Amino acid sequence: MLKAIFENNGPCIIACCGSGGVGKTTIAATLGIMGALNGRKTLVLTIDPAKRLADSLGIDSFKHEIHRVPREKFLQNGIEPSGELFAMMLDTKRTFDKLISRYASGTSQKKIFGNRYYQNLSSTLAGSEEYMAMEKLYEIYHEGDYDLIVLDTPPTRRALDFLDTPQRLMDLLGHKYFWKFFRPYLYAGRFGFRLFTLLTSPVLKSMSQVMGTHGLEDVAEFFNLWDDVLFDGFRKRAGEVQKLLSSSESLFFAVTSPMARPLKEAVYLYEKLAEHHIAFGGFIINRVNPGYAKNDSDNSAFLNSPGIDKSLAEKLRINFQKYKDLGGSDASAIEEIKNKTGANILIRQIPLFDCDIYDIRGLLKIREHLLSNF
Amino acid sequence: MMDTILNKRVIFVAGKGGAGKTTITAAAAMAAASHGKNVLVVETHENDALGSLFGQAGFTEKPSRLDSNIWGMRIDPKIVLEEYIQKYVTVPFVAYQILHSRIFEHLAVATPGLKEVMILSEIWRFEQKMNSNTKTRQYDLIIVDSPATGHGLSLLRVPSTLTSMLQTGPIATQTRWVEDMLKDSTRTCLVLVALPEELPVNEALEFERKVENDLNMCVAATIVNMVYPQIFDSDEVSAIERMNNSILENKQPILEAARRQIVRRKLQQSHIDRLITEGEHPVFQLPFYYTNNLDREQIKDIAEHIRTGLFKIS
Repeated sequence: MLKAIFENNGPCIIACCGSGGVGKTTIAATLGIMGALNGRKTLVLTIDPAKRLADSLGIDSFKHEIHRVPREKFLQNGIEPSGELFAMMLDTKRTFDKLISRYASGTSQKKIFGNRYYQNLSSTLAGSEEYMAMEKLYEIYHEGDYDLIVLDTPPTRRALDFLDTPQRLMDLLGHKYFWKFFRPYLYAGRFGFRLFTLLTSPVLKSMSQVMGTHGLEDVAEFFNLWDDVLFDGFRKRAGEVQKLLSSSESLFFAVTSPMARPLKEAVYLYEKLAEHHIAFGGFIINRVNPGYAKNDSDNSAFLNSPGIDKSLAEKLRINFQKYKDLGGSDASAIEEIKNKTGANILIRQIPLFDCDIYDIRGLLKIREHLLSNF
Repeated sequence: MMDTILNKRVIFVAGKGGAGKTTITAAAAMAAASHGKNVLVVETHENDALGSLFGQAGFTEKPSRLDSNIWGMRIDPKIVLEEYIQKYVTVPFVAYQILHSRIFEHLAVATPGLKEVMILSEIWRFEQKMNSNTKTRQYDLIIVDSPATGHGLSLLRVPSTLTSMLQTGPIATQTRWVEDMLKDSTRTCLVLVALPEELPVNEALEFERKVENDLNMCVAATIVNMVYPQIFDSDEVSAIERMNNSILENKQPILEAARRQIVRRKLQQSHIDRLITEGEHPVFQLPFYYTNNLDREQIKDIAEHIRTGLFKIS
């Protein structure tokens, strides 16, 4: 079932969502390799890969550019992908800038980039990091250079904030009342926003007393630069991004660990995707502790054997109980997911390995578990 | 008097999501309370996890009592800003107009750093009450569950950004006061929470550097959470390895579990060592409880570790 998604008629976009620290990047990289192994020219768009992982894929400087994973790296690990694997790191501010330069005229472009309010916008507007990840995805998809794009999404508490971001951005930039309020002051003079015109409005005057005039000026200048062309361009683009994500070209996976909070997040994601009619691929539960059989009576025979020191035997027994509990705790958490989402949803479990996963060999181990059935 | 964490007025608990900040915030509050401190626990994000650790549905915008001397509250930056407007805009009608105008909505949401400064000013306001002898309820210690690392850093970095943007006005002045509080190591410190794994340790080291270089803030300690306890001593480790090697077929699950314990413990230790050698702050370890869901007894146990360990670091 999971193998099928990498066939030629499968989705062109696979997104991995979930909380931070559950191994999203590692899973995304594995899915990338699986794409390449299935003959597809694959790009992994990532947020912040561990240095060791980037190193082992032969990617040293990761900034802004697309890097190809050298073929030798695969051959060294005994695989010969018929496709190729590329990787790129996302940069929110750059993507935002590019979007502005796509729709804004030369002069206003310059002013926008120089505006202090704008400079901070991409880092303060909630969800803009996520949204810019989608924007980049859309851009690359439309350039058409890759058969498959695997997206490693930014870790957020509310993993799907980006779905609401365009609307919030539009609300912020385009609300009619806002314009009605500001415009007279903005068009007051050749230099645009002037202090004395601003202060003729009692509301703005009072606000400037609290906020300080500098802050208001920056905000006013920024909004003045948003003309209809830029605004319409932005809105249209946001609509297209949404459409692509809810088309059959895209498939979303929830990556999680068996810990209570990431799991809750993953279930939220699943529900939210359904609400937005976005295709859900399944849950990938990473770092699962193995279970031990309920029947451990044969242990006592072993522990009572003459070669084992009494105190060591006791420690072994205690330790075993802890691991049994841990495995049981994971198993019941996963069982709960199954109950909540129904039997038809794909769930793949990746065990918690006894070593760090940081190279192709490790990723191939994850692949085995992704492909096998539990 | 020794300068321990317990003598500060504000402790920011920061770190990556999933490292256990919220649990540690709650446990630290319990530990401080057992020293007789009146503790105010502050939640800075929309997440009711902290409240539920004290058996409450969620925090409100006003401090509510959680335990004999622990109070909890959630700070909503928008409400703080509204109070501001009401305080500084002396004509009530104009204040009303501002609060109900669309532009206020926009500015409250979108002015970079305003939200953060409002959160911090509210913390500052409670911190200032420690100076006076007013009859209003006083707290001896404020513990803040900060947003996940990246955001936590922006929360604390904001005052300097905003001071340069808003050069005049009450908010600019307020921002300077907040900045003073953050940088004063006798009043404020930061406790970083990390997991003993590769990426979290890298991030913790990076965060430490940024906090000290960019923010000039005091990092009191780095807490490594969920550390597998040392169950077997070195002789026992070799005995287990011998047994594991001799029984090749029909592996005993009990030995397999022991092997896991030894390997994981060793792997974690390598990351903890890195934090100790490369980091510049005391490293304090909290045990792993072999579960996905901590119960109240386990949280109390963490509080005890904090009381007898973290709070003794000077």
